[in-house]
Parts: sequence; structure tokens; C-alpha cells
Amino acid sequence: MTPHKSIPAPPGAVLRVTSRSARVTVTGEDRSDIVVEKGDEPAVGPDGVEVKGSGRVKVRCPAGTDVVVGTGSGNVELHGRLGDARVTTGSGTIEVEEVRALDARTGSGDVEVDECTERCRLKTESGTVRVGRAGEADLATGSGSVEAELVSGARIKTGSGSVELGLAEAGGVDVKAHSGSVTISVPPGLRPATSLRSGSGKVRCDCDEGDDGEIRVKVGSGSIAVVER
Amino acid sequence: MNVAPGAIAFTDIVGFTEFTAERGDADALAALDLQDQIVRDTLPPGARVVKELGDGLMLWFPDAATALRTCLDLHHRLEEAASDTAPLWVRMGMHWGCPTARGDDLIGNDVNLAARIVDMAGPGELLVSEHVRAQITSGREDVRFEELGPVVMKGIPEPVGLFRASRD
Repeated sequence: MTPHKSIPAPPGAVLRVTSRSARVTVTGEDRSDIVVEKGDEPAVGPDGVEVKGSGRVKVRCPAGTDVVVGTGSGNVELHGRLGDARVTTGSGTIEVEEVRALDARTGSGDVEVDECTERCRLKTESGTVRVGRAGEADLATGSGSVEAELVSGARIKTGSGSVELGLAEAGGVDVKAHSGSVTISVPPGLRPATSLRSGSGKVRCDCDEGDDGEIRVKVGSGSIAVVER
Repeated sequence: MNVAPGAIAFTDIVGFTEFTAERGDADALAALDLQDQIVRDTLPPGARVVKELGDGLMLWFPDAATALRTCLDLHHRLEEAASDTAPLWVRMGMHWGCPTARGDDLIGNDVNLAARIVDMAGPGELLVSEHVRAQITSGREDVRFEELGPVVMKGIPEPVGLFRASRD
């Protein structure tokens, strides 16, 4: 068995993982060092701790660590609790358990985020996007659906996929879709300002008009529903 | 023949295929015409449209600061002009380098890299390479750069540092 490579985590250091085609797993947990279970020897550079590898890269780091992951064609998994995370992969899926802020992009894979406490920016060309809880969400898909259970605000653009969004509180929502149904659930009693336009689909709003945030939806073809939870 | 260093930018209308399928060729043509008009009205002296690529464009700028300002202006104008019949959700990618001239066209590794960068951008975004950012040294530009990290792109041998550029 290959011995793990470990270095003390420099305070505030960013963990940077790059690979041309590896499946990458980073776990943030209660520890003070950075351990590479699979991958090359970690190197401390001016921009943080760098880890490279091919095939499989697996790293453990202190909880709350900021992470940058770039891979050409592998899946990326961020487990445990991490800080600000930026992830790009050419054609893999991205799974994230808990981060502070997130920018995640993939060419043709799904993106799944359990919790992102601050801004959550996700983009995929042809996969689906699924978010559990997030602050402001900025979500874009080319041809996949979007599901966001509870966010404080959202900007969503999708070419041809359905959108299901749960708004946690009065906030701004802006959804644009060429085709696909859009359903937005809001807390009971919320009275948002609304602008709901569909080229060829039913539009339904269960809320009274008010000034509790603003919900704007524009769909080329597809139904729109704003419903109370 | 290598041309002087400059900024190469690619634009792409996100979801244009879906839009064309949904709305038909006439609306698609109108959207492209509107994009063309806005781009040509916005480009400063010295910059040019190198070529049209379906719903995208390849642009050339002699300096990076002008390129950044112009592309961010373009985003603003395209967003303002977007309508039901022309949803101009445009993304852009930019790289600084020395391409090779082939007639009016520009080719080469730096062009290929710029073309890859736009693939990583979402609608309404401008992504730039670290080489573009390095050109912005005055600190007077009201542009904010957010690092995306080293990004591995198809056909490009080494990871490239990418940044999301936006108005500060």
C-alpha cells in the first residue's frame, strides 16, 4: 500500500488540485494537515498547496479550507465542510457536500450541491443542476433541468429544461428559459412583485401581489407556476 | 506571419440552437442581425470582427484594457437589447497572445485557447486568461477579476489560469 503524503496545512492556504483526467475527491474534516491519499506529493507554492495526479486524486484537508479544483474530464467530489470552492471539469459530474461559496462549471455533467451558505454559481452545458440549500444562486444549463430546494435568491438561465425552485424568503428571482416548465415555491403569506411571461404555456400565481422581493420569469414555451409551500 | 500581440475574444449565444428550434429561422436571423449591429456599433477604432462563426463572433483588439472595457460594454448592451424575439444570452472568452495572420483571418495556438475559454463561460459572463489579466497593470480599470483557478481545457497542454471579469 502506498504511504500517504502529509504536510502541515499553512494557515489560510488554498488547496489547488489539478489533473488532466482524474477523478478528484477532496474531504474537509477536523484535522490540521493536508493528506494526499492518492496523487502526487503535495507542494507548497506561492498560491497555496498544490496537488497533482492522474487517474485518481484523493486529498483530506482541514475543515473550512478554500479549494480550487481543475480537471479535464474527471468527476469531482467535495466532501465534508470546505470554504470557498472553485471547480472546473471538462466533462465530469460535480458533487459538493458543504461549502461557504461555490463556483462550479462542467461541460457535460450534472452538478449536485447539498449546501452552500453564500453565493452559489453553477454552470453545465448538458447536465442537470441540483441544489439543496444556498444563498444567492446563479445557475445556468444548456439543456438540463434545474432543481433548487431552498435559496435566498436566484438568477437562472436554461435552454431547454424544467426549473423547480424553492425561495426561502423575500428575495430576487430572475428565471429565463427558452422551453420548459418553471415552478417556484414561496413561503406562505409572501407577497412578491411578479412578472411572469410565457410565450405558449399556462401562467399561475397563488400569491397576492406585493413588495416582498421580486419574481421575474420569462419562458419561450412552457408553463409557469408560483405556489405557496 | 505573426501579427502584433493583442486580445482575441470569442462570443457565443447560449441556447441559440434551442431558440432557433423553438422560434424558427426568421427570429434566429433577426437575433443575429441585432447582435451584429450592436457589436459593430460598440467596437472601438483598431478593433475588428475577424469572422462570424454561426451564432458566435471572433473579435480582435490591439490592447487588453480596451478589449475588456468593450466586451463588458457589449454584455451590457446585449442584455439591454435582449427581447422575446432576440434573447441575446451571450458568453465571451478572451486571451492575450500573438496569433498568425492568414489573409484577414487569425489562426494559431492563442486563437485556439481563446476559443476554448468561451466554452467555460456561462450566459452573460466574460472569462479571461491570466495573460489578459497580466496586461492590466495600471489598476485604473474598473474591472473586477475573480479567479476560477487553473483550468484544464481540451487540446491545451497545460492548465490555464482563468478569471471572471466584471464591472467593479
